[in-house]
Amino acid sequence: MVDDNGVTVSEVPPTSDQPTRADALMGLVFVFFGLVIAFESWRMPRMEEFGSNIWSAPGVVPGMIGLCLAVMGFLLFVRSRPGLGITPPKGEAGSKTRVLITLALCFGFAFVAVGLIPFVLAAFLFLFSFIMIFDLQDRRVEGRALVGKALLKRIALALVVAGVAAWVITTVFEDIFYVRLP
Amino acid sequence: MSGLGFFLDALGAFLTSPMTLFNVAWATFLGIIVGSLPGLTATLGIALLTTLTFRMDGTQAILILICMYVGAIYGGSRSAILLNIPGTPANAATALDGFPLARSGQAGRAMGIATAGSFAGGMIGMLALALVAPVLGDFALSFGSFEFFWLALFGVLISGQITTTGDSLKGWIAGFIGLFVAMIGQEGIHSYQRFSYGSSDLAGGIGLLPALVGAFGFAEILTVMKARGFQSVRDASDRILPRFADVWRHKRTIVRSGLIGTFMGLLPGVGEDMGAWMSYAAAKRASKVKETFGKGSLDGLMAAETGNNAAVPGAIIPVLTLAVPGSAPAAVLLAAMFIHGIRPGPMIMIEYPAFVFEVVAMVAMAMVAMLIIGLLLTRPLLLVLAVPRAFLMPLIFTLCTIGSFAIAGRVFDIQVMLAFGLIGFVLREMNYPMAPLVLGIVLGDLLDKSFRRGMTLSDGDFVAFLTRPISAFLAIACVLMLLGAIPPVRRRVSSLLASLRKKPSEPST
Repeated sequence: MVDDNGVTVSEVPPTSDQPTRADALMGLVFVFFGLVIAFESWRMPRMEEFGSNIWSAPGVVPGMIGLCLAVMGFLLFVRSRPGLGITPPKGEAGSKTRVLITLALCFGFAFVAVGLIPFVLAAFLFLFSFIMIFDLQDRRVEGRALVGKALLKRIALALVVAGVAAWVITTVFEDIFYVRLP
Repeated sequence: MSGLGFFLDALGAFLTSPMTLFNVAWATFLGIIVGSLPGLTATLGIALLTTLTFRMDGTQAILILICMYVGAIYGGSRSAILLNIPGTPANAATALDGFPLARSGQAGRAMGIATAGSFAGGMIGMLALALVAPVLGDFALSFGSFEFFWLALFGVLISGQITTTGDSLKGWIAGFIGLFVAMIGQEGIHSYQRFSYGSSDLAGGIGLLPALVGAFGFAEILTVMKARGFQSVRDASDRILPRFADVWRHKRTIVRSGLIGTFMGLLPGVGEDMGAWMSYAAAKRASKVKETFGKGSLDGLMAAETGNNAAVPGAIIPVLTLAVPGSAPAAVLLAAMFIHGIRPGPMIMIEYPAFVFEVVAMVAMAMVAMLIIGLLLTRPLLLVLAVPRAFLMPLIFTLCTIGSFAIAGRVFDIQVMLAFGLIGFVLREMNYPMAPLVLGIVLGDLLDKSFRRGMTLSDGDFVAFLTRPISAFLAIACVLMLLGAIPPVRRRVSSLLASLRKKPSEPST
């Protein structure tokens, strides 16, 4: 879990992490990214023609940030080179497929459906499909898979929850807090 | 009027307004629920509530956000004790002793101690807020471009150093990515559009709130959904109201943890979770029964919960006096203050002296509400923890989508939320902390303007950044931090310190 300050938190106090191949590769990514920032900053106008001090030019600070990032990326790469042959240790049990399905559903809702169809309908479809896919999967994993009447009941529950939630969220934001919806 | 006068005035006004009392009650209750649910953090809660309350009166909106902040940091102790999953990572140290207590049938007692500790820590932090903020505000009046440049850099570096899980380089990289994000859009000196490539959306800059909602909301949803298993709620049928003797026995721990937590809150971008860890470590060092820590120690539980809640008012001190957030939730609070037309910073004790003490009164109201709700509504709160994640996470994501869009009404902000969610998820998977990233986004503009103004004032002479006492002090602190991260330097310093410690104990010949 990540904390409010963005720290990845485990059940024990933080310990140093072993460098991995991913760290070394990320180091190279940061070198490239930092150099691109520095180059783009260099291309920005210097504003000397307006009589301004060159140190007040818009590219000065981003250029330095880019260079610092490139240096830190290089240090990360050098420090992580012994880990080039090490694949990252497996953390808590997780599934890439679950992440990909979550990504597909969330992007489908926020990137595609919102703005294309009415918000309340987009929210309903997103909520219903998300609940159905993961609730049934979680139950299967826990050995509580549903069949027959129980399955139909669960589908009905998901329909009701998705419908009520979509309607309540839309109404509360639009009519009570006067927030415009996408 | 004196500070106490402003405080009593504000408290009187709040206590006699039914609407205020209603807002305090629901916002604190919601905060506790948000904090107790894994997947919802204080930062996300405050960010979403900011979008809901931005049309309200400024004082009421800030009051609601502070209640959410206090409630959420406390609420995280519930799931830490009952599920061994810290609701917010500020409660990670709480789980170490809270969960063993719950497993031994003392869940109610553990929750009672956590509540008492949170209240005591919050009150110590509140006292510090009332006493330190005016002094720091006066002190900050002497700050100019040189000092603000070093302060911004110091903030990003110390946040990167302390919040990282071992390698400060990763924390600093995250901080500098945040600083770069702040560079996107129209800059404030020549109005030049940096890194926008003709896009009017990019020219407007990356909004802090959509970025935070993505990094703390969407990224957390992906993390929660990634895990295959998910634990269910435990029973808490024993006595919840803490015994006075139980609390009094830990009075030293309470005072020590309250002070440590407040100090951790004061440091830019460090915040509540380090307040808890540092307090926990100090309590363990001071304890005569160290072996009980991690196995259900009431002292450890008290230290962790006192430390994290003391850091809440502690983190608000630099928000008010320097416009530099002490933690990620405090960064959102800072953004909300700007939205409501309040300009925190060195001028606050001159422009709005009453507001500082209004905030103290708001913290007091939130702490009392937290105590009452925490002790009286324990069992209904347990029901919330039983909601399956398949039902909860899509609801949170729908709120994240609306929350990102609501403030500016830009679809681009939803895309920012999605992008930062993905970036946040990848960085978290690779052990990069996100507090420095947030602090970088907040402090980027200050660092940029201060450096360029300072260089213009000194006609390009960087030495001017080192000659004033405060800027020299901050510059030395930055250099020491950087040197401390170089392994050979660190080894030499620690061996030097070890030999110095050894010398006095050696027998004289």
